[in-house]
Amino acid sequence: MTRCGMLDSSCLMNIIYRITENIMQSTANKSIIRTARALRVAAWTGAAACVLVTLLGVLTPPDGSTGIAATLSSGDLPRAWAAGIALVLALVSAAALIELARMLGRVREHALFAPAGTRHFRHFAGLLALAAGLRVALPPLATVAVAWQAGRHATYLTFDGGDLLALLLTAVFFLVARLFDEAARLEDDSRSIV
Amino acid sequence: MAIVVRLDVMLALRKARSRDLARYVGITESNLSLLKSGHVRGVRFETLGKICEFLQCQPGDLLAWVPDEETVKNDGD
Repeated sequence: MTRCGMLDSSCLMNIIYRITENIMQSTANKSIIRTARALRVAAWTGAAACVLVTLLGVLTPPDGSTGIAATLSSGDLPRAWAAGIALVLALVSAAALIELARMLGRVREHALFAPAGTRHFRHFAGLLALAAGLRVALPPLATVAVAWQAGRHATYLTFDGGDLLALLLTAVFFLVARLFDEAARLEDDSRSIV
Repeated sequence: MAIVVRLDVMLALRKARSRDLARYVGITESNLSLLKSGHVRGVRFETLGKICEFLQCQPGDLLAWVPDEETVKNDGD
């Protein structure tokens, strides 16, 4: 005996349960998507600000005669060297933020962990690691190069603990990227199980 | 694929419509269609139970294992 075409209370409960589950899931997803959109705007703004402020600091005279607040602190390095390093760091950091923005742009309601989004996040982590590595390595290398050019045989090298911490943070981001890959696989599995 | 879904056979035997089954189980008709054609990676016990409840049948009536060519070849050796 079949129950074709009949809707008993169990069936109704099941439908209500499924609809409620879908609504709750959809609400949660929409909240994530809204946050992702806001963060995306913040990432694009951050990338643009990073380059603009650095350019401002590099191009404006160091005496502050123009009244613009962006200044380039060159430390013991010649200004041209410090400007070059600052520009490289700014470009790499901006590229990392753009990758983050692109990843956030891939977040969709029914595909929170799209493979393309995960790829962008991995690029973001890679570029951030590169920026952190360059921030740690470039200033001491430039200091050594300047000392060598000046014919000096001894120089002081300084490392900022914060930069080393940033390197550790990027390692965590790589782990998060791996977790995203796994989440994407689980999402795909979940989609193809009825 | 070694597991074959015989949902369409059971639907025909019970003279039931896919739309009614999908509504009873609480899944979309497109998902039910994917299940019928075997284009899914798995079926939840909950879904399977609801289908069996609706069609008054056993899971074995809906799913069958058919040896693929490689299995047949290995058994022959």
